[in-house]
Amino acid sequence: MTTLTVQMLMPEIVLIAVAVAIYLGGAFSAARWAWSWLAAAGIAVAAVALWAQHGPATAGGPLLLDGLAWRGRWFALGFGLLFVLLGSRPAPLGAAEYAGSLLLTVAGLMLVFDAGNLVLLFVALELISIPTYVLLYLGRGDAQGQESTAKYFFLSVLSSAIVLYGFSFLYGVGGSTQLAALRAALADPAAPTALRAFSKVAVAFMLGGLCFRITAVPFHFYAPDVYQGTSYPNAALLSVIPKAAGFVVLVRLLLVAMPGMEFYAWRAAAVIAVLSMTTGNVLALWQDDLRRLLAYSSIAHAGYMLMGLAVALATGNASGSWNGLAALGFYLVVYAAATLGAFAVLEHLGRPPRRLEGVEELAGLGRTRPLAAALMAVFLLSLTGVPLLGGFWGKFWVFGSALNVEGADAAGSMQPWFTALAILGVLNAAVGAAYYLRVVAVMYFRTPLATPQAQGGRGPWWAAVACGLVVLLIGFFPGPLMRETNQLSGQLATASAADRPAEAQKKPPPQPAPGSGVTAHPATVSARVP
Amino acid sequence: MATILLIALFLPLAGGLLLGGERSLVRWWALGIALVVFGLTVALVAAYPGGVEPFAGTDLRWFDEARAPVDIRFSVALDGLGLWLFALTSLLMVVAVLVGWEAITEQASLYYRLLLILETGLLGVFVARDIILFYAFFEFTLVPLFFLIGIWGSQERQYAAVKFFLFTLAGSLLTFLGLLAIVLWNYYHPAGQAAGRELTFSIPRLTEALRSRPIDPAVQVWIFLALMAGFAIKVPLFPLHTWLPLAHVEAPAAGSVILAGVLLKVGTYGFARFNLGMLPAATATLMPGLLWLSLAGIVYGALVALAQHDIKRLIAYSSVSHLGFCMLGLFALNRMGIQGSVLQMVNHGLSTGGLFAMVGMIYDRYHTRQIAELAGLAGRLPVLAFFMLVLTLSSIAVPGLNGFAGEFFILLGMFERGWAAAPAAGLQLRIIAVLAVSGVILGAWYMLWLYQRVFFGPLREPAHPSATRPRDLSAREVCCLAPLVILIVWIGIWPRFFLDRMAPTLDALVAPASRAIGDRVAAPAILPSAESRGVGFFQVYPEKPPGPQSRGVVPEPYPP
Repeated sequence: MTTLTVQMLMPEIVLIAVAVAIYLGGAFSAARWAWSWLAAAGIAVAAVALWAQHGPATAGGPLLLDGLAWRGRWFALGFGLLFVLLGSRPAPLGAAEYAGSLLLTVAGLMLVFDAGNLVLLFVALELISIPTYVLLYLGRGDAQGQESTAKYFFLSVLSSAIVLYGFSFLYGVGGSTQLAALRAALADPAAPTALRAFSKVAVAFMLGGLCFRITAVPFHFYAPDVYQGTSYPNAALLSVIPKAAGFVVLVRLLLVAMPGMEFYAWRAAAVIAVLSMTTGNVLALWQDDLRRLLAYSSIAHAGYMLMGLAVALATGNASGSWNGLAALGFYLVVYAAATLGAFAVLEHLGRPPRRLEGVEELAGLGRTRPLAAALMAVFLLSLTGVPLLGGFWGKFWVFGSALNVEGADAAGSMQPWFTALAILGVLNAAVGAAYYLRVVAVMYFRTPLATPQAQGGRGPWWAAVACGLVVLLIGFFPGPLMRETNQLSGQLATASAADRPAEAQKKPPPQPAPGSGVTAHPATVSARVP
Repeated sequence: MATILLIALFLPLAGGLLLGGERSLVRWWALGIALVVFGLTVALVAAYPGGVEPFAGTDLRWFDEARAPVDIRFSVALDGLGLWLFALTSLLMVVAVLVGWEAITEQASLYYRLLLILETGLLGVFVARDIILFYAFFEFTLVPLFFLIGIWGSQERQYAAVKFFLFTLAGSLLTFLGLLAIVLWNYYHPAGQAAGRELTFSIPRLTEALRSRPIDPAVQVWIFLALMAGFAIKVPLFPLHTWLPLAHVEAPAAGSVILAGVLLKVGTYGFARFNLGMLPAATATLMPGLLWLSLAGIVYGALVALAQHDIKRLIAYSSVSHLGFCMLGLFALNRMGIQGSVLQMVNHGLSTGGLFAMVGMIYDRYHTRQIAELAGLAGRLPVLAFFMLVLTLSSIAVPGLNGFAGEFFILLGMFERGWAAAPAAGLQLRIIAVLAVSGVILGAWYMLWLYQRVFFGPLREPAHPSATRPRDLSAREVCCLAPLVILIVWIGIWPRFFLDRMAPTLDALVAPASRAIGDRVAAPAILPSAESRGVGFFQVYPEKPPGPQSRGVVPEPYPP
C-alpha cells in the first residue's frame, strides 16, 4: 500500500468511512431521512474524489485503473445514488444499517472495477455479497423475506467458494495473483501443456460461480424466489449490482488474464447466452407476480449481455465499431436504468407494509396514475427494445456486434455461429415483448380496480424519473454513451488481440515460479491512455 | 422545400407531445395540424420536379460528431417511391381525425395525441434515407397503434392489440438483422476494400454500392428472407395475414383507416426499397415463390371475404386480396408492374381507407356491422349510399376510377413477365397471371354483393339505441369523404399525372432486378412491339431495352 494506492482508492475509502459512520450513528438515532441524506452526501464526496483523478491512470500494485475502471466507477456511483433514493424509505427495520450496507455494496462494485489482482477481486466481490445479505434481511421482516435471505445467503456463499476454487487453479497455472502476470504466463508459448489444461478447469469453475452473480442459466433458479421474497429496492439492487460485478470479473479474467482460452470461453458464453435468453423469456411468459416476472426478465437480459461477451472473446477483444465489449457495456447501462426504473415505479406505487405484487394490480394505472404508468411503459418498452428508447440501441449494439464477427478460429469460420446467435437473440426479443406488453396492456386497457396507494415516497419517484430521463436521453442521443463504451476495449488494461502474438514473441514474460506469491512478481500494469 | 418537409414531419409530433385539454378543443387542434401538414404536402407535391434525384432532402449527423463509432444520420428526402405514399398518409390522417370526431369521447386528448404521433412515424417511414432511421420509424409506428387499438377498440381490443404488436414485432426484428447484414456485407465486401471501407447506413449510397458490387447471391437469399419476415407480415402476405382481420376489426374507425390505408403499404414499400433495390439476384431467384404467395393471398382473401357476415371483416379480407395485387405487380419486376403496384398502393389507401371510414359511419348510426341486420339503406341514407357506391366501384376496379388504372397495369406487367419468359420457365408465370385475374372477378362479386345486401331491397334497420332516426351524412362526414372521391376520379381518368412523378425513381429501382432476371431467362417478347401498347388514356411507356444508358434516366417523352 503506497500513498499512490491510497490516493487512487480514495473514493472507495470515503464510501466505506461514511458507511461505518452511519453504522455507528445508527445505534444512537433512528432518523430515517437523515441516513439517506448522509449516504447521498457520501456518494457525492466520493464522486468529487473520483473526479480529482482525471480519467484513467497508471497505477501499480493490485490496482488497474484503466478505461473500464474509470467508467465503471462512475457507473457504480451514479447507480449508487439512485439506489439510495430508491431505498430512502426502507422497511421498519434499521434505516441506518440499510444506508450503510448500500454504500458498502457500491464501494464493493467500484473495487471490482479497480481490481487487478485475484485476491483483491475476491475481496471486492465479497464486499458486495456480505452487505447484500444484511440488505435482504432488512428489506422485509416477514418469514418470506427470511426464507429468501437464507436462500440467497447459502447459494451466494457456495458460488463464492466455486469462484475461489477456480481462482486457485488459475493461480496454480499462472503462478501469480496479478492479472498481468497471469496473462503473461498463460501467453507464454513455452509453458507446459499439461499445466495449461488446468486453465480449462479454471474457466469452468469461474464461469459457474459467476453465472450465479449474473443470474445466467443454469445458476439462475434462485432469482425468482429471492426477488419475490424481498422488497423492490432489494430486487433492483440484486438485478443490477451483482450482475455488473459478475460481468466485470468475467471480462477481467477471461478477456485479460487468460489468453488462449478464448476458444473455449466464447463457446461457453454463447451457449449460456442462448440458454439464459430462452429460459428467461419463456418462463417469464407465465408469471403473474411482478417481481418474478422482472426476475426472469433479468435472466433473459443476462443472456443478451453474454452475447456481447462471447463476441468480445471470439474476436480477441478487437476494438473498432461494434466490438463486443462496447455492446456489453452499453447494454448493461440501458438495462440497469430500465430495470431500476421499473422497480422504482413499483416501489412508489405500493404502501410500505403492503406492496404491489400481481400484474393484475396494475389494472387501469394509465387512468389512475398516468405519469407513473407512462414511466413504467417507457421502461418496459425499453426492455422490449422499441426504437427511440435506450433499449433499442442496446439491442442494436449487441446484435450488430454479433453479426459483425468475421474470421475464423481453430474450428473454422465463426460467422455462422454468431449469425445464428443473433437470430436466436432477435427471436428471443420477440418472445420477451409478449410479457412486457402484457403488463403495458393491463395498465392501459383494463378498467381500474382501485387506485393504487402511491405512498412509496418521493425518493423512489425521483429515482424513477431519473431513470426515465436516462432511458429517453440515451434513446434519442445514444452517441455519447456509444462513444464511451466503444473506447472500453481499446483502453482495457492490456494489449489488444492484434499485438498479442507479437508481444509474446518480443519480450518473453518472466517465468513464473509456482508458489511465488504476489510479491514475487510486482508487475506493474499500465493502462493505455488515449 | 427541405424546411417544409421537416415541418410536415415534426409538426404532428410536436402537437402530439404538447396538446392537451378538453375534447372539444383538442380535436380542433388535431384537425388544424393535420390540415396544415396536408397543405404542406400539397406544396411539396406541386414542387416535386420528377427525376431520380431526391427532393427536399435534409442530411444531418444524428450521433455525436467527434469519434462517433457509427455514422447513423438523420437523413430524409422525398423520391418517386415515397412521394405519393407520403401524400396519402397526410390525407388519410385528416380523414382519420374527422372520422372519430363524435365517436371518441373517452380520453380524447390522449387519442388525438397518439394519432398525431403516429402520423410522424408513418411520414418518417416514407422519407427516411438512412437504414436505421427507417427502422426506427418503422418500429415506432407500432406503439401508438398498439394503444389506439387497445384503448379505443371494440370488444376483443386487448387481444387484438397485443397480437398485432407481437406479430409485427417478431417479423420486424428479423428485418432489423437483415438490414444490419446489408450494411455489414457492404462494409466487408472484398471489392470495397481497395476503395477504402465505408461503414454507411445511407439507403441511396448502399443501393448504389450494391449495384456495382452485389452481395454474394447465396447470402442475398438469406438476407432477403430476413427482410421479408418483417415486410411480409406488414403487407400481409398470404400465410402471415392472420393478425390483420383481427386488428382491423377491433380497431376504432380511425385506426382501421390508418392501418389499411397506410400501414400495410409500409410492407410493400419496404419490399420495393430494400429487396428490389438492394438484393436483385435474390429477388430474381425467389420471384416465382413470391408470386405464388401473392396469388394465394389474392384468391384466398377474396374467397374468405365472400363468406363474411361482418362488413368490417369483409373489407379487411378484401385488403389481403388487394395487397396481393400490389405484391404481384412489384414482383413482376418490370416497369409496368411496379408502377401499377405503387399506384395501387395509393388506390387501395383511398378506397379501403374510405370504406373503413364509412363502416365507422354506419356503426355510429346503427351500432352494428352485421350485414344481416342491415338492408335497404339506400332509401334511408342516400348520400351515404352514394359515397359507398363510389368507393365500392373504385375497390372493384371499374374503368374510369382509380382501381382500374392500378390493377390494369399490374396485370399487364404480370402478363408481360409471363410471356417474356421462355415457355418452360414462363409457364407457371402465365398460370399465375391468368389466375390473378380471378381476383378481380371475385372482388366484384363480394363487394357488389355486400352493396346489394346492405343498400338495396326492403329497409331493415336494427332498433336504434336512441329514439332519433339516423341522419344522413353530416357536412363533416362529407368533407371527410369528398377528397377521397375526388382523388379516386382524378387517378381514374388521369393516372399519368401520378405515374409521371414516380416513374423515373421506380425505373431505376426495378432495373437491377429486372436485369438479373433478364440474364436468366432470355426470351423474345411475345407481346407486340412497344409502341402499340398505349391503351386508351393510359399511354403506357414503351419498355426500353435494358442497358446501361437506360438506368435511372427519365424515359423519352411519351407519344403525343
